[in-house]
Amino acid sequence: MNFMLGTLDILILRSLSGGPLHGYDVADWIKSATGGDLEIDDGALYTSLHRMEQRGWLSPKWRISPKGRRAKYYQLTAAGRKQLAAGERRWSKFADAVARVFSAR
Amino acid sequence: MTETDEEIEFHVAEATEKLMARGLSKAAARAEAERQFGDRRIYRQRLARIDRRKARLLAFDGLRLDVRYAIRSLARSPAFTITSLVILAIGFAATTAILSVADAVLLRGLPYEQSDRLVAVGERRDGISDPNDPAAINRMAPQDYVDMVTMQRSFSAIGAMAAGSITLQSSGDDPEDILYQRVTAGFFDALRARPAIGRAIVASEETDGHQHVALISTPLWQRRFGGAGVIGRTMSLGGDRFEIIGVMPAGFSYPASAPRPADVWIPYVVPPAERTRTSGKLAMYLQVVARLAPGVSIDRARTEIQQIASRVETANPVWNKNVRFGVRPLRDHLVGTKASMWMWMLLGSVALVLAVACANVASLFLSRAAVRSREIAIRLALGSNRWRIGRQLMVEGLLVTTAGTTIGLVLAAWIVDLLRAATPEDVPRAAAIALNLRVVTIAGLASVTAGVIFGLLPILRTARADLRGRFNGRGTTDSDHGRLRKVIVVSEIAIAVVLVVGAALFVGSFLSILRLDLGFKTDHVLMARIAAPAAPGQPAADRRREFGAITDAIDSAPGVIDAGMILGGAPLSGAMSFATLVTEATPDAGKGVSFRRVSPDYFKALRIPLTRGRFFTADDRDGAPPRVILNDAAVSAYLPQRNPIGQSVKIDDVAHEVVGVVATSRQGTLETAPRAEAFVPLAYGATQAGDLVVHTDGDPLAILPTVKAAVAQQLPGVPLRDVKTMDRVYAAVTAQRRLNMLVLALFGVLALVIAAVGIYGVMAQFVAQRLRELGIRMALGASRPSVVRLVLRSAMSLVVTGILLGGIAAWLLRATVESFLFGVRPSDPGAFAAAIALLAATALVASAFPAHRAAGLNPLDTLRSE
Repeated sequence: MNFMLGTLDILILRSLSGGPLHGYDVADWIKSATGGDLEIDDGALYTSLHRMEQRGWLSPKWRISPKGRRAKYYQLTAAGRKQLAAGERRWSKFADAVARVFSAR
Repeated sequence: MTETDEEIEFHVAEATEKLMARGLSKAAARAEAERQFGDRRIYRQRLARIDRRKARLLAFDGLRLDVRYAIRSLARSPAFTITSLVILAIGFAATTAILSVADAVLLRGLPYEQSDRLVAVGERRDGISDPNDPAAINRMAPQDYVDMVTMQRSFSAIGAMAAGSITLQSSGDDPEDILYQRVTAGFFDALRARPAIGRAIVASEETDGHQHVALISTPLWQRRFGGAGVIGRTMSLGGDRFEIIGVMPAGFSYPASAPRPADVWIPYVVPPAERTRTSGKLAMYLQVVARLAPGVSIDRARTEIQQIASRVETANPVWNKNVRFGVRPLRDHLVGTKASMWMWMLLGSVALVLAVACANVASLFLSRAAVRSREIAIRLALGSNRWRIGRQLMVEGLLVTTAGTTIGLVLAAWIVDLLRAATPEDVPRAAAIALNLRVVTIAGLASVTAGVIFGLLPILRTARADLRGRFNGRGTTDSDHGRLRKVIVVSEIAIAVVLVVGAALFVGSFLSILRLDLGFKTDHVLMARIAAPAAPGQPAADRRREFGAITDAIDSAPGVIDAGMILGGAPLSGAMSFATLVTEATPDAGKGVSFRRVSPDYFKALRIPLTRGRFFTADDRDGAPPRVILNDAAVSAYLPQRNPIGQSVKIDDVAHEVVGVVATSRQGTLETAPRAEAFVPLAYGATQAGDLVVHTDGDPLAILPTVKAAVAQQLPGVPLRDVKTMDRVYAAVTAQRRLNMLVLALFGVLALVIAAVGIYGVMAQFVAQRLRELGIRMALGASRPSVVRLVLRSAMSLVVTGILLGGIAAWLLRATVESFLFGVRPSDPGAFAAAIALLAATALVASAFPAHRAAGLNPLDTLRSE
């Protein structure tokens, strides 16, 4: 479960690396990036967003969306960027290790 | 709708739209969007929990920011910060310390059951009781005690106690000097104190032959008997065997919390000589404690006891002439009128110091508020939140007051230690004096309140004032607040005058004491007490031969100039004994003279000069005709206008020939006028105890081994007691005065410093407010000295008002200090003049700085600055 949550955090941070997005766009980005293979509640996405906001990785800002509605945008902070870089390193290490295990057979 | 709800709603709406774009109906799209989101209720709860945590952390961050901001802002005005801290610390230290002592000694009850029903009973006799303290009662003579107890109906229990020290020996251990109390069975009944183990003393043991039972204290039980079963074991007290019948509970002592509590209680048996009233024989030593019977008021008990005294006087018209009995609440009796008056006076002074301290800090914060009101107005105008600014200011105020209080409490702990050490030993609870938790709590609460109020002053002022006015430049002029500061400064000066006058009077008293001519020399003198008493109730062994041999041995030792001995009270010990002296010229001068027995070299050891006749010699011993040496005071009172040598005087009805006259000296106590004194040879009667007085040519303590050896040779196993130098004795009897003076001087200096800060603050503000006016005056040709004069003149109007008010207050309060003074009248013009001069000089210096600053102004700068 932790593993999954950590993964979700990294995906979200990654989605925001291009600039501030609101929660729906983040969900949309993750769905398209993973081809819809990741079956999670959108609600879980928000708990992740809020938690990272509380940790100071994301800073929120209310703005008017292109469609004219008030929406909460999230932006990576410096700490968030650092977390993303560290997460990516961890992930590729982990993926390499798993790949070696499978290729060793 | 919360932000989170709004966020979720936005998400679902976006998702619904996207799904509808794919062709779903609105209802189906909405349902699908909700499904994808998950259980909204659960997520809302989770999100709320996360957000709450964030809010808490933010608040904490905010506080940290506020504290950091406050520290920075305080550091920018170090003069303000340091002054406030110092004043607060001193104010709180003085208050908590004095309150702690007062709480322990005055306010808390005694640690006995229903202690408010306990009273002390005593008697008053002419020439012995203090005429200036009519409420005080002295200890009772056994004859009077016995009569009073059999007649009284007011008390449900009454008992007497005689305190002393004695040598204890048990089961082969080293002998040890302990304090013990001889008590009647009623003594413990009255206090409702019961042994923790074993039984109490009963009335049938107050008779000859049955008195060899003892109660011991818990500490003695632990120390000497290892806390094991002791009931029925015996121990030796002064050479006589006593059976242990019980152990008193830990912590029991009388008086309460005595610094050196008694370790043994044995039954009191009235000595045979004191069962009848013999002319000239009077010993008042019984401390009487009684418990008021249910329903009996102390006034009723007093009336009854006074009637008993009259009946006793009628029955014994000579011995009990003018003797009155008195009843007093036990606590008042133990604390004593003078000690409690002293305590209340200290409390009063400390309240004054705290008042000026707080007034001053308030005034400091006020002037800071004036400076900051403009800054605050700007911040408010820029949309800053009033609550947020208020919080920052409050944090600033709290920071200053809590820091000041913390430093103050550390100081207070130290002062309390000093005061405990300086409190006379017989004050109850003296050992229990400690920094008091309740007092500390009160101080802490006061500090928080003060911090909040001080901190909020600026914002309260801004709230009242019209914002635009603040921007119109001189945001610092505010006449009613200026008037408030002036009132504060005037009262500071007035209070300082009162305290400085007090300090001057106490310094004067102390100097008078130091200037006293003792009539003897205190340097290079060693004192020690030898006591080889018999056990209570046993016939006394006579030690005068051994005492003679001891003084002779010490006298002839190298390093010793003269060695003497005295019976009936060592110099400055306060102990006295009296005799009646009758001469042909004064046949009924029955007032009594101080009466002592001395060895031949006593006067030489203390360097008391002989004015006529001779000293005693070894020939003045038992069997020789009775001879007496008088002091000058006795000669002028009893044998005026003739040569006293060879005259015959009657001392306690025995004719004595006057062989010598010595200079008058203060043998008894320092502060009572020298008395008429009579000295007879030590060798005239049996003795068990006496005080050695050794005059040495070097360090007196260096001679101690010689003295010990001489005593050990004559009286093996008898310890030396109360070994000290005469200089130490002198320092000890002046210590109370020294402490009084130091405390009052400290208060005086504090008040002075605080007043100086106040004056400086007001004058600095005065100059700051009038920069423009002063600039114009100078531009129009006013000279620098005239500007200085302008500033000083306005300062002096405050100072003169303050001094006048303070002088009047000090004059009105003079009666409260009268009984503490020595050799100085409370209206002493010198003290008043000194206080006024000191205040005026301080005020001048404090206002000189702002005046100088004003004179140094460049008129152009001041005009341009606005």
